[in-house]
Formats: sequence, C-alpha cells, structure tokens
Amino acid sequence: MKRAHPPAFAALAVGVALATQGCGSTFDPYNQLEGFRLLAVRAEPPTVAPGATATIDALVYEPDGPGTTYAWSWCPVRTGADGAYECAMSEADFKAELEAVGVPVDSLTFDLGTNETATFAYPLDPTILALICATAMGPPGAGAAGLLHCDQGFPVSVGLTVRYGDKEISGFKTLRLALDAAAPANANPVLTDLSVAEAKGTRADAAVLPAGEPTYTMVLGEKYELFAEVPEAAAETFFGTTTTGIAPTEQREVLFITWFVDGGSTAHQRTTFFEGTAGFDRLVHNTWTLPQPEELGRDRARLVLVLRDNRGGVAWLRRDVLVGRP
Amino acid sequence: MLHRRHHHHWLATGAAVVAALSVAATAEAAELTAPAARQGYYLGGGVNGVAVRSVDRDLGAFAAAYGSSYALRVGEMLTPWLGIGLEVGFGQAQSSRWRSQFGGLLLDAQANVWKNLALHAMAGLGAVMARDKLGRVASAKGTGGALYGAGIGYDFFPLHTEGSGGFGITPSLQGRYCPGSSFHAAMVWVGLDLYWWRGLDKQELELPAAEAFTGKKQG
Amino acid sequence: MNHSFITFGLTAALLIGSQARAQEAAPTAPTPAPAPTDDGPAISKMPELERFVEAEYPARAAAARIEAIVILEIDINAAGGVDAVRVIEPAAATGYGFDEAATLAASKFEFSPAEAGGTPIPVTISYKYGFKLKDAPPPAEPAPHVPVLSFSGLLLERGTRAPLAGATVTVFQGEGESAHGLETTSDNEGRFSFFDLTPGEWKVLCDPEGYFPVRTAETVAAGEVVEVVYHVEKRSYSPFDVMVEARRPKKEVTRRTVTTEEIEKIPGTFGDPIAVVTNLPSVAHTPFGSGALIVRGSSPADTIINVDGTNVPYLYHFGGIRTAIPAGMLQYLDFYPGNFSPYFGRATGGVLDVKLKRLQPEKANGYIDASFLDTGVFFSMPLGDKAAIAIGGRRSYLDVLMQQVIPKDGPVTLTAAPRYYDYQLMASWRPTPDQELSLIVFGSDDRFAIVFNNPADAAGIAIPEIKTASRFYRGILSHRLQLAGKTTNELKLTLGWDEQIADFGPGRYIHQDYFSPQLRDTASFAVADALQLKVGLDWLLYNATWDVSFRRPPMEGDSIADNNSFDTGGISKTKIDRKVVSFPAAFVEAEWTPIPEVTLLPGVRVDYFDWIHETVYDPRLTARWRLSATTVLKGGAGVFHQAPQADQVDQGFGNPDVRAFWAYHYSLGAEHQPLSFLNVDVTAFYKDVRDVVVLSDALIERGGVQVPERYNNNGRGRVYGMDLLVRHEFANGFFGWLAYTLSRSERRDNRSNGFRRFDYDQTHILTALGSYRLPHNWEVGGRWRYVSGNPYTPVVGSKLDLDADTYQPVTGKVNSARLPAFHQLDLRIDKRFVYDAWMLSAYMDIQNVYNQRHTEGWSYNYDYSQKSGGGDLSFLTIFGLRAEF
Repeated sequence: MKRAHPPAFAALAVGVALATQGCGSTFDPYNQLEGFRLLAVRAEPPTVAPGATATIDALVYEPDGPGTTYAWSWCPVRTGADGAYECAMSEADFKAELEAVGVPVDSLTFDLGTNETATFAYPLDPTILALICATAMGPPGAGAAGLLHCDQGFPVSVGLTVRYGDKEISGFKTLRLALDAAAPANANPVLTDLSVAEAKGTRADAAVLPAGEPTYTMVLGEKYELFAEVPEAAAETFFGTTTTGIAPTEQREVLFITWFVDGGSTAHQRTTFFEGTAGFDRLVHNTWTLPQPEELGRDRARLVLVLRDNRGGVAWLRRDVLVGRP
Repeated sequence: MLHRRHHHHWLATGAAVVAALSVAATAEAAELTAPAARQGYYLGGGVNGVAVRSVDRDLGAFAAAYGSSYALRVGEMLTPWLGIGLEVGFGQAQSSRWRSQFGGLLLDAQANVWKNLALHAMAGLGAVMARDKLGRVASAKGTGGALYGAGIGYDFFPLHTEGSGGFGITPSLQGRYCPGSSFHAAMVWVGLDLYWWRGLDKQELELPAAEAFTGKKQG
Repeated sequence: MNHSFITFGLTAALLIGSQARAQEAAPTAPTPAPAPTDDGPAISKMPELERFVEAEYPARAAAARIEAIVILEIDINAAGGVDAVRVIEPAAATGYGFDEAATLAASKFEFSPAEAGGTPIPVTISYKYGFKLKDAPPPAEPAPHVPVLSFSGLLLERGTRAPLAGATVTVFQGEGESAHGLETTSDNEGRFSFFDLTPGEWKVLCDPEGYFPVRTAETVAAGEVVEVVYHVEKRSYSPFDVMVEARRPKKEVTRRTVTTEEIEKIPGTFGDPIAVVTNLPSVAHTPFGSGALIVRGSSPADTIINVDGTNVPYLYHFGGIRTAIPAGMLQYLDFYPGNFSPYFGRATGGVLDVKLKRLQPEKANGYIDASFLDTGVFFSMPLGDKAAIAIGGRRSYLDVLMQQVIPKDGPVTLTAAPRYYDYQLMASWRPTPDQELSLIVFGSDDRFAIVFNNPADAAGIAIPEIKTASRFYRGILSHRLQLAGKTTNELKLTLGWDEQIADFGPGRYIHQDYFSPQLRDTASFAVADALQLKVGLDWLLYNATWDVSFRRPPMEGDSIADNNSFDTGGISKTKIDRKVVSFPAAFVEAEWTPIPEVTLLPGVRVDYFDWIHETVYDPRLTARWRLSATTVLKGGAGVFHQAPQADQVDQGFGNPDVRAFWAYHYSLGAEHQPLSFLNVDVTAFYKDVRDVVVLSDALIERGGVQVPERYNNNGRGRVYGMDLLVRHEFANGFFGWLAYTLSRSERRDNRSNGFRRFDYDQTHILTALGSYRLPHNWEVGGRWRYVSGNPYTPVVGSKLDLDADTYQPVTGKVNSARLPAFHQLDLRIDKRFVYDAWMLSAYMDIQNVYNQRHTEGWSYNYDYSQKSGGGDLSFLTIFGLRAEF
C-alpha cells in the first residue's frame, strides 16, 4: 500500500504561492474594471420553492455605454473542465429520459430567452428530483464525491452568454430547487450602502455615497477608506452541508465582497466574513488608492461591490464618484 | 612493514649527506615554488571612479551618471597564473536627474597572463537602484539579481626586494553589467587598490638551505 | 696504533675441541656447534692455531675503557687457512667496531689443519676473541653503554591528525663536504627517535612523498630530550585521494553508483543525495524543490527509495527542500532505473538504494556543517577495537528567515514558521571478524502553519489556514554473517513510525499515522562452482490509522483545471482505525556462470498484497556477456508488480475493486571501458505498463446503488528510449560525467483517445558535469543541463463560475502542447583551509550562471486570456561552511 500524496509539500507550495501573490504579479488584478465584464448574476429568490418562479438578472460593466446582448439557458447537470462546462446532456436527451419514466415534459425547455432578465419556473415534480438525489448520492458512509448535494435543494445550473461588441463571456450560476416547500430557504444577502472616509478615517467619519448621480469628490492619487453597510443577519445560520460535503452541521454562511474599481487599486480584492477567523469588520472595510492624475482620463470613477454568500445568494451595488486633481 | 627497533645508520662521509640532501632537493625543486611577491592569499581594497549607464524599459536610456565606489577583495593565487577570490563593492553615482546606488558580491577569477598583469572575470549578485532627484517619478527604478564583470589590472611592488608576498599597488579598470527585465545598467570602474599578499608558506618555497632550515613558518 | 693492550686468544677452541665440526661441502649458516658424531667422519686431530693475528683495538673503545668478547665461527680449510669468519655472538658494546676488528684479525689466522684418519679435512670451529685493556681495573666487564635519547618526535598529518608511518626523518649538521647526519624512519604511530646527538643546533628534514617538506632546526642540549610534534601538510586534501577503489562486481543491467564524495561536489544540489540522482540518465528534470523521482516515464509513486534495503515512504523535509538524511551519513547510493533484482519489489519504476556509512572510525571525528538552510552536526568514535558509534542532527532556520521576509500586515500570518529537524544515531559492533551487528535510528520532524488574513482574497480558494506537521522515525537493526566460501546471511528488522497531520480549515484535513515493522532476511550461498543462489524474505506490515476529509490527491494527467482550486472535485472522507495490512514477499535469485564470460541472473519474486487480496509473481532475468576485457554486452527482461495507492483503494476515496498494476521491462545495452578511468554505458529500454490505475468519471453499481467509480485499471503506459552515461572516474584531478537520455513516454487513460504524452515526457535530457581539483585545496565544479520542456495541457478558453466568482479554464487535448526547452549552467567553488587538528571547508554554489529565464509552467491572468512563463528560481547563490576534525 502506497500512501496518499504527502500533503505537506502541496500545502507549503500553496502557502508560498499565496504569500507571495502580491510580489511580481504581472497581470492586472481581477477587480480592475477595464473593458467589458460580466460581474454577477442574481436569482431572486436564490432557492426556488416548488411551483414558484425566480427572476434572474445580471450585472455587467459596459465601458462604452449600453449594448449588451444576453442569451440565457439552464441545465440540470453541467460538466466540468473536460466537458468545457457545457451541459452534461442535451435538452432532447433529458426529455427522452424523463419520458421514458413517464414524466410529462411538454413545457420543459432549457432556453430562458434573450432579454436582460430571465424568468425561471420550477421545472419538475419535487418528488422526482428527490429520487434523483437519493440514487446519485451513494450509500451512507461512503462519502459523497461531489456528485450531488441536495440538502440545500436540488442544484441546477443557469448559464448566460453575454456579447458586447466583439467580446463574449460565458458564465454559469447554481440555482437551488427546494425539495420541501416548508424548509427554511436561503435568501439573498443585503448590501445597502457604501460610505467613504479619508485615509485612516473610521466609519463614524464616513460619508454615505448616494446612488445615481455622483456628488462626492475624491482627489486623484489619494487613499480612501471604504465601508460597506451589511447587516449581520445577512450571514444566515443554517443546518446542512455546503458544496464541500461536510456532514450536516449547524453553521453560519460565509460572506465575501468583491470590490471592483475602474481605476487605481484596492488593498483587498475580496474581503471575507468567515465565522471564527475573519469577522464582520473585515468583511465591510477596504481601502481604495485612486490612480495618479495622468493615468485616468475621466472626471468620474466607479465602484461596484458584489456580495455573495456560499449558498448562491448575491447582492450588489454601484456607486460613482467625481474625481479631481490635487 | 616497519618495526619498532631504532635503526641507526652512521653516514660515513659528508659527501653522502650532501648527496642525500641534493637528491631530496631535486625532488623538491620539481614541486616547490620560487618566492615572489604575487603569491598566496591576498587582501586588498581600493577606491574607484565610476561611470554608469542605465536603461529603463519605460523611461528609456538615462544620461551617464558619474560617481565613486569602494571595493574589498580577498582571495588566493592557486598557481602562479590562476587565482580565485571574492569581491564586495558598493558605490553611488549621479547625473543631473538621477541618483544611483549599487552594490554587489562577486566571485572573481583572475589569470596572471604576463608578469604582473592580470585579467579578471567575475559573476555574482548585485543590485542597482536609481531615484529621481526631481521627484517626477515617485518610485525607484532598479534591478537586482545577476551581476557580471570583467577587468584588468597591473600590480606594482615598490617595496618588495625578496621573499614571498608583500604590499602592492594596483591600478585597475573594470566593466560591469547588471541585467534585468525592466531595467539594466552597465558600469565602468577605474581605480587604485592597495593589496597585501601574504605569500606562500615556507614549506612550499624553494629556498637556500640556510633559510629553509629555520624554525619559522613563513617564507 | 696504541699497543698498550694485550690481546690474547683463547685457544679454548682446543678445549672446546669437542665442538669442532667437520665442514660439509656446502657451508651452512652458523649454528652452535653440535656433537661431532652426527656430522661427517670422526676427527682424529683437532686444528691448531699456528699464527695468531692481533686485532686492532677500536680507538674509541680504548678511550672509553671498554672491553669486549666476540664469539666467532671460523671455517678452516684442509690447508689450514681460513675460508670464512662469521660472528655468532657480537660484542656486548655495539657500535665500537669490535666485531669488525675481530673478524678481520681472525680471517688472517693460520692453523694446522684438522685430520680425520690421517687425512687433512676442512672443519668449522667456534672461537672466542677477547679484547682486554692492560691497565684496566680487573673488574667485571665495563658497563655497556646505553644509548641516550636526544630527540624524539611525532609525525601527524595536518588537519586529520592521522599518524605518518614509514616516513624518513633526517637530522644533520654542517654544510657541503663536512655535513654529517643521521636518518631514521617513523613507526606505525608516527614516532621517531634519535640517540646520542651532540648538543647544538641540528637541521631537521622530513620530505615524504605527497606532502610538503618539513624543514626546520632544533637545538639539542646535553642532558635534555627535545620532543616535537610535526604537523605535515599534504599537497592535496581532495577526498578523492582517500577513496577506496574497490569496485563491486556488476551484476545488474543498469546500476549507477554515486559516492558521498561525488555527491558533495555536484553543483546545484547543495550536497543533497536525492537531488544528485536527477543528474543521472533516465531521470526526468523536475522543478526546484519538488523532490519527486521520475524514472523512465513512471510516476513518482512508482519509484521506491530504500535506506539500507528498508523501504522509506518519503525522505524529504516538506516534500522537497532537503533530504532527511545528511550526506555525511551516507556512504554511497545505488540507483536502478529499471530491470532491478527481485531483492526489490512493489515498484514498477526504479529503485534508489541509499547506503549508510559503515562505521569504522580509527579515531574520533566529526563535523559541523552550516548552510543558508540549516546547520548540522555529526560525531563518530570507536568503542574499543570492535565497535563504533555515531550521532548526528540537523535543524533548519528557514523559519527565522521567513519571519523577516513576510510582511506583518500582508495576506498571510505565520503562526508557525516552517522548520524541520532530523537526527540520526548509528552503532556497529563486530563481535567476531565474520559477523557484524549494527543499529541505525533516524528521525525527522517538520512543522508549518500559516493563517490567511483574507481567505477569499486569492481567486477560488476559501480556506482560512494551512497547518501541517510531519514526523517519521526508523530503527533498523541488522546482522550480517559471513561464513566460509561465499555464504552470507543478512537479517534486518526495521521498526518505523510515520505521522502526518495537515489541516486546511474546518472540514478539510488529513491525519495519517502508520506503524510499520519490516523484516528482511537474505541468504546467499554457493550451490556449485558456477552457481550462486540468493534467497530472501521481505515482510512489510502497516498498522494504519487515518482520518481524512479532503479532495482527491493530484494524478498524472491532471490539468490546471483539475488542480485549480481546493474546492474542485469536492471532498471525500474516510476513517480507518488501527488497520493492519500485510505485504509478505519472498524471492529467489540465481547467479549462474555457465562459461566464464557469461553471467545469467534469473530470479523470481512473489508478493502478496493483503489490502487487495492479490498474489503476484515477478519473474526476472538479467544477462551479462563479457566480450573482452573492456567490453560487456548486457540485457534484461522482467515483470514488476505494484499495488495501487492507499487512497485509490479506500472505500471513501477510491474504488475497493482496483487491482495491482504491472510493467514489463526490457533493456539491452553495452558497457565499454576505453581507459581505466573512463566508462561508457549505453542502454536501450522499453517499458510496457499495464492496468495502470486512472481516474474514472463513470458510475457503476455496487451493492445495488449507483456510485462513482472514481478509479479503474483501464490505463496503459508505453515508454521507449535509450540512455547514455560516459563517466570519468577520479583521475588526473578530474571527475565527471555526461548523461544523455532520449525517450518517449506515453499514457492512455479514460479521458484520452488513444495514447497521449506523459506529464514528464522530456524527449532530450542532457547533463554534463565535472569537478576539477586545483592547487591549494580549491575545487571548481560545473554542470550544464539541457532538457526538453514538459508537455502541458493548453487552455483554449474560460468560463466564469458566478458562484465562486472566478473564471474556470477550458482545456484542450491533454498534454498536447510543450513548454520551451530548459538549459542552465551551475557553478560550484570549494576551498579547504587546513589547520593542525581540523579543517574548514567553504563552498559557494551559483545556480543559473548566465541568468536564463525558464518556463516551468504558465501562470494566467484572471480570465485565462493571457499567460506568462516562470516558476523557477533564476540566479541563486548559496554559501556553506563545514568544520571537520
């Protein structure tokens, strides 16, 4: 019997790689908005009750004004890297399988339209979904190998392809179908406000940025403290496994905010709330260093914050600010 | 195999002793070196005048900067013509816009090609950093990593009359190059060094009998 | 001549006439005269001294009032003349010349011949010749002169304190014609002495071969003894000078041996034994610090590493930074890239056998070794005549360095900086010359813990911390017995314990604990003149405890998408408590020499893999044909089985129905030795690996339920190529080798359509290295390598994972692209400073001298639309120091 890979080296390699991530990185960071981007997709509600529908919309960054085209779809099972993240089976095959067991499929379609928002209706009888979950999870104690984890609902994948000019981005998001209408379901987290203070300032000194037309002016080349407004209740407590397949326990959601800026840099690309390790104060605070005067040719800058929980919930806000020379 | 008993051998005549010694001496002569100034370990240091030319990927070539540097060298002559040692050097240079500082630790191999003329080849670690005196560029430009060099020098031994080792004065000329992906610099050093050559141990030197058979260790 | 003495000869010969003895035709060596009746005819008339010759009394003795008696044996011929004189008992006072004077005088004696029956015959008589002083007070004999010690010394080799035996020491005075002196030779312990030197200054010369001459002067005073110790310096302290040339006879198709002296001199390896193996042919180049041995297209897990024949699961700190056994504890290592003997099993790749030092210290010795990574110490000493002991240890200070380098408010906090230490204890005892008992204990301990201040800051990874601790201990007790003829037996009992703990936040951890005893017995004996048999037992047991909740381990063929994030593939769990798994094995190998030029080694090994309930048989054959004194043709073929890895068979992580896999090895080659120090070895090889364990996405039915298969035996491997090694043994101050491998290795698995390139399929691997000894104890070494780039799976697009907020790469055909070739020059300089009782060595190791940028892998931007190369350290300079006594 040969042992499993010595984890120590893998751990050290990861650790060193992450520790030195800041140094010598030649690429633009993920949270730098330059060119067309697809930033998030939100489903309201993120877990759909039997018989209910969800409204799905997307957050895009359009540098040269509106002009994005959308193509929505959904898929019961999506392949991984070796399948290029395409749907594991075509719509025709899926319908054929269901018809073979006597499930009505006339209104079933993977296509969700080409509008800016999409509407997704609970597609099948929840008992059928429960049956698929039970057979695919394997015998108890064997440890599910990432096949299907249904304690938060049956996962389906919503796909979106957006086009803007000659650029195309494809993405996919998990949508949960609740098997039991009565069970507590996930809700999207809440991100209400963003406040700004000068360098080294605190939340008490911060001024709230208004939505819509910008009024706050920032000085190019300077640092500013950013404070997001997220209620602690947004990190829900739930009972279950997460996508990592740990035995069901009572646990708190992990929240993280990705801070997108279209100029300058932030101290953190993402901030996290992880109960026991990183607190709420870590989640909501970041520092933005505005670009040098010669690097930005506009009179305004944009911030986009996307807040996610680790159960598919999404929230976002956009704020613009005026920028001036020192 | 040798036994414990003392084995005395009364040598009949002085001629035999001389013969024995001369035989030993010819065996020595093949491997012992005649004493000279430029032998053994060396320790030296000096001052140099420096000219630096730097090129930055974004800002282009800088104007030549002039300054000075100090160097400390230590090493050993392995054979009369080959020596290896280490060099530590640091210095600074300025042009109208940039102030540069540089330093390095190099492995130095030298070939004594003709009399006291030596050619050097060097490789090691070094760094160059330049700052904008006018403040237009906030961050320092520079590079660190490999450093290569080549040089030539001639040793003068004004005080040396006999024996192995001694003090010497060496005028030298060196070129250096510090490569980098976004910044690289080339330098020319002209300097004067003072060296102390320790000389070889007495046991390695070819000496007349009167000097060889003393209780001293040095030549 | 002074005639103030009387010489008298005792015609006691006549009194001792009975002692006269007739001469034989051939005179024999002088013996005490026996009874004459035994020898020749009866003597009727004894010889009579007619003419006595007075000897010259030695002047010095007369002046010193010394008398003497010399007993001679004289051969008298039939005419009464003296044919020969021998000294039977010399004068008590030696060095005055009594014997010579007596001999000279006696040779001129004239006798009337002895007669036997009226006829004159030759006889041999004893004769006592005395020297007596006329005025001497009658006494007893003058007191014999005892030589007086004037000057005594000890010759030791500088630096090693080894005594110089057999060296000639000369003391002399005066110059030119009037020079006079004495000469003596040092004994086994390096001691020499001179007696009766007149007081004054004496010049001393000692000029042994291979050393610098000692030329000095000492002053001898009357009544005092001058005692000195001379530390004589060798002309060169290269360790190669003391290397024993004994070459073990070659039986294998390919066995490559590297000694400790060579290991320590190869640039770029920091004296690390396992890193050195990557400079031999048939071993692929791996990025810095990875510690994996990839031999002829095998995965790292397919090659085993043994220490003195005992299996060791891994031998590195942190997976690749440093070997857990310092080079100072090793004697040499043997590397078999394939077709190895049935003595080794449970591997389909290669075997690295690390041999620890056989302790035989003549005196206490040791060293302290400091480098930028760690400091180690070693000490060994003899215990009486038959036993010896050694201890060693090493500790890193990477933790101290890293704490300086990592910024305080950076993305990570070091809760426990990485540190490792290892320690070794060796003892050996030879109760009788044919037995040896030895004990080796070694252990290693690594620890490392960091906390990520923003767990989600880095794309896709949501782990808050990494905490690892690894420890292992091994104790090997072995008994070697050498009986008459070529019969030997080696018994080895090993006890081992391994513990690995890794935590990556809640729900992700690996805890493993193994207790592994191993019993090995190998007996070798001659069955007939040309047939030697080797029989062995190899029983390995594991008592394992696991508690794992983690993603599956990386596999060969994985692409960047598979290894992208800790979340990919999900988490599996398993738990085992004190499970005993047994791997018994037995083997037989014969060495048959049907004709003197041909050696055949057929053998078979049987293994039982308890975990998967499988018995496997490995027949193997090696043949060597000596064509001439300098050329050998060799070949081999064999079957090599290996059990799947533990996690591949585990219920929670893998597939319990996975079977053992195996490989056919074929090799054919030749060895040629054009010069005594030059060896050329070419081997062509072909390897066919079957039933390789590979990943599977299929769903199968087990126990009535659909479960993911995870692994199956559908894989296949194919490797072919040739390797060349031109080796220059240490001669003329130089050692080095040129290694070249040309190969192609392919795999087929469930994802690929047909054969695809192996992860480490490096078409060309060229290593040229050498070390040259310069005067004054300098050594310069260099190494140049050229390696084809590794294949990689290209990224052809990306998709945005909106849940994890990261892009996922879309990959093309597995290993269909190739990284650029790699080449690098490394340099190493060593200098040894020699002092009377110890030596200091300093070295400088410069890697990548011409600063070539390598691409060991690609790094991509966030959406995989751009990539840049990198991943290896360029231009690195390392210093080290070692003090040894």
